[in-house]
Amino acid sequence: MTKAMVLALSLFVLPAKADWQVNMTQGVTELSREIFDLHMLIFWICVVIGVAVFGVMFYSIFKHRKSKGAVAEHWHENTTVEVIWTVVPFVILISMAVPATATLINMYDTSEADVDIQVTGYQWKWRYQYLNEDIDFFSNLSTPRDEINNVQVKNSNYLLEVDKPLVIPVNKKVRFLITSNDVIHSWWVPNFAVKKDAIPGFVNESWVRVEEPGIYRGQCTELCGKEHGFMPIVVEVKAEADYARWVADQKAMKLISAGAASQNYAVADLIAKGEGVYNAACAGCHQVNGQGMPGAFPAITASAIATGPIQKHLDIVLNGKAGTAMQAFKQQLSAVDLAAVVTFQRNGLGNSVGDSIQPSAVQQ
Amino acid sequence: MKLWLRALLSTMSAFLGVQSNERRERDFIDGKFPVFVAAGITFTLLFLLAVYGLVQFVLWSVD
Repeated sequence: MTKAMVLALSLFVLPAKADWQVNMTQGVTELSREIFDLHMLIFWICVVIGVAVFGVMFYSIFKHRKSKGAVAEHWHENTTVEVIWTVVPFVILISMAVPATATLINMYDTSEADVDIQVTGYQWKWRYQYLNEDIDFFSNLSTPRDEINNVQVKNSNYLLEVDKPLVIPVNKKVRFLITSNDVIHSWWVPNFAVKKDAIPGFVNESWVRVEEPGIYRGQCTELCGKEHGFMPIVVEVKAEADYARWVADQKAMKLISAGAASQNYAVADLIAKGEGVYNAACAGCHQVNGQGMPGAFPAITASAIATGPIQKHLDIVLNGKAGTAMQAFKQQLSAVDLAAVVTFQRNGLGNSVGDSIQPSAVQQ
Repeated sequence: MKLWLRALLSTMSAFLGVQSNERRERDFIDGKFPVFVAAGITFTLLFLLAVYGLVQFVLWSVD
């Protein structure tokens, strides 16, 4: 092989090697490290057993091979050997079960949490409700559609970035109450060693105490429909003071958005804002160009609803349509966003109805 | 060996899933059914106690 060929091949091999991670994530919590250590303990026990069993087996096959004149012995039973090969695995299993059970008990101990957050899976986004703080928001994928459609170069957090991350304080026990609004999802953040199914009608619990502020990313890990791969999880862990500030900001923003809903907006402003809302909340199904996907998701362009009476249009957006994939967006978007997106759909995407709706009308 | 002791040993072997053919045949010739039932119940209770004890030990070790 020539030097040039080696160099050319290494170009393919080296970056791939850097990206490789075969083992479990060690994570950033005491519990995640405990789980990792348990995983490694069991792994090494399996390695030792595997090497010993296959070692003896291959040695015996080789040493007593037929070409050397080995003759098989014929015997029916050996109680001593049978007792040994029954008792030894039994003891090994029990000795593995003891630390595993201890870790499981720790994992399930959600008591005495400092912060309680309800995590609800939606097709295809997550909703976070802080039970003691009156904070409630949706977390949507923020990767631009152009990156998904290979028009733009993909950034390093491709499909692992959201518009509003979940924010939690460092060194506090945070309890997650995980459920779903539609189908089964699963909330998974590898660095926390938390992976819990979100099941409609059930509440699963999990908890985390993160030791390092930072941004941690995860994904939905239960196949939940067309955009299953497009509902990531981003958790921002903040120092206590920063977290308190964030909570205060959220409450202030809620007051501001309540005030914003009572204002009147120019149609052009509503359309401009509505386009952004549409791309984040609607384009996944109805497509960026409003053409939908024939047979699955109807087009917005020239649709009877988007060009018909505005109240009926608003009603569908607010309450969804039973029996279809069309969700109710009443809880998901603010009054301003709802007014903007309805106005945009009627005056953009090839439609030109000419009317508009104000946030105050949406609230009614 | 006493009949009941032999039944006890055979039942213990049954719990492990190991028994020699010789003992099995002897049990079917000499053994008494009620003695095996009593030995079976005894070992079941011992097994339950062992599982209970193990779980209590783990719970204690976690606290």
